[in-house]
Amino acid sequence: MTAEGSAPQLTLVAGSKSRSEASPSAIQIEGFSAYYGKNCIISDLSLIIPDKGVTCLLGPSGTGKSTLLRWLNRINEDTENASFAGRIKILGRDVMRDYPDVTELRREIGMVFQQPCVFPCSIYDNMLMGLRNFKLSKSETRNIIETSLKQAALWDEVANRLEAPATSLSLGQQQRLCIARALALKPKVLLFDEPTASIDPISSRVIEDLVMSLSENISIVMVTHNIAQTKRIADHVVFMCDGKIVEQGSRSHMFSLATCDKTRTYITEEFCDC
Amino acid sequence: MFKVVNKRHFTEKCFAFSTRFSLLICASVLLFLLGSIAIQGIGAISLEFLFTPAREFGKSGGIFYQLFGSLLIVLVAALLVLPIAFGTALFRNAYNNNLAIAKIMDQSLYALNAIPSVTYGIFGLIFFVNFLGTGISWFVGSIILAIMMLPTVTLSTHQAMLAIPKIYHENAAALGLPKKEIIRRVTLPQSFHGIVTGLLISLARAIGETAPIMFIATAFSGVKVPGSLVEPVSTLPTHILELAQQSTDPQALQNAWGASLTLVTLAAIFSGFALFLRRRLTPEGHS
Repeated sequence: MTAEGSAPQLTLVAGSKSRSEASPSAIQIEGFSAYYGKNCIISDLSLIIPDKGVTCLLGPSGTGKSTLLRWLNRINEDTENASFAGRIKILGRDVMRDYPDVTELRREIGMVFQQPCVFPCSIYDNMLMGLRNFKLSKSETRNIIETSLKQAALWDEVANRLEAPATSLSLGQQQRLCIARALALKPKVLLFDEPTASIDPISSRVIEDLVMSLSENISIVMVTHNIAQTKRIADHVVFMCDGKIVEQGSRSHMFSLATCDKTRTYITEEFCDC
Repeated sequence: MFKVVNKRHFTEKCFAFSTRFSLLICASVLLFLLGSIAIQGIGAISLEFLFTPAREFGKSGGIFYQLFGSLLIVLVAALLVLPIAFGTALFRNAYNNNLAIAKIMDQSLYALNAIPSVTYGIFGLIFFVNFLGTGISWFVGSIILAIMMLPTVTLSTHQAMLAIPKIYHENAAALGLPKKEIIRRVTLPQSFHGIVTGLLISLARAIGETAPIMFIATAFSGVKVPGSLVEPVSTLPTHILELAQQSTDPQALQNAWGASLTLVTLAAIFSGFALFLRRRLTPEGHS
């Protein structure tokens, strides 16, 4: 695929490194503090998120998981009174200093939100939304849309009704459309903010399978409250409480060898007194 | 215990009755007004009345040039107000992060909305006609009506933009769309119903205004289709005013009722169209 003029380039194949070849970290966070006005939500947090695989940010509500996620692609920049201190590097690039154009960062770091949100237009136009900034031919565009919908396990359900309103899809399908829309931009990292919180269990499992298959090639960071889900899909778990990391490690470590009482209590009783 | 329940039921019934009574008064006044105009004016309405020029200072003939003048002034005013109102609402919603500026803007728009229409007319007379020396001009009338319509259209657009769920903007931003593209792809299509509604409602109000344009844009008789921007036109409200001053003449009075019915019908068409478009254009998820 080619890009003309000053249009951003888009490659058909997303990160193709295998896990064994993967660089050690996708995201490095150093001394990160986040604020809403003068209210400190996260203080002095440091974290390394490995490349590829699924990293789940687990913890009770109001501990700053979503705030952290929303700063990774600077979507929180548009939130009133939100600010942060510290440094976030994604694939070696500082999200503040190395991305003067925030739109470039957001194309590389895709995001899927808790509430499925399709635009009130056709399925095809929804897919086209992020691609409009690329100078692509019609066939290239169609090819990317088809590939992304297949990746999101939605193609078979919508192939013959791409011009139908996206709002006619079920909530689970809408969420997969949101994932497909993000995948169309070939992101290097995908951020999920409780993507299954507002959909039924069957659709949730479809999305979980999808997340796991995508994690072969893309680094995925996912915020969740759901311990069972974390057990099923996480490669790496970060347990957060009160704006701080309590404990982190591989899934097996966190669910069987957790050293901190708070982590054990939360994992077994889904309760945290932080 | 029963006494307390009975008292509560009685209070609720009284309250429900008072709301129905208020509605009855409101509807009666409106129906009486519209009914009077319709009954008195229907006799004058015909194609000939609508499409022939007035003669003998309106005593005979029709209202063609008045109808044309009214529509010309308000439609040009709509064209003038649309980009300014949209730009103002867009700045207020998408670009301004300063709460103090937002408050000043809101207060100014509400204050502007409360200014008596004759004040706009006086401003037009002093600034355009006297200071800039435009003379009596239909285009100045359109400018003044556009200024008068500005708060309604801006506030309506602002409210429509405010009603767009934040999640749409965040989703568009997360797809790497720059701000201007978010405005084009999300804000504009989803607030279009607000722009159109505000515009049509303010048009319905503007077409019936006499005071703001009386001194600056209209002549009572002897005008036809203007050949330039700085010529006067005749409008329905000023024509009705002129005919009302000759109310001792039954023919003039009949034509005044006919012109009034035409004006009310035009206002009703704009309002009805606004309601229709609001229902058709309001995107899902908006109320």
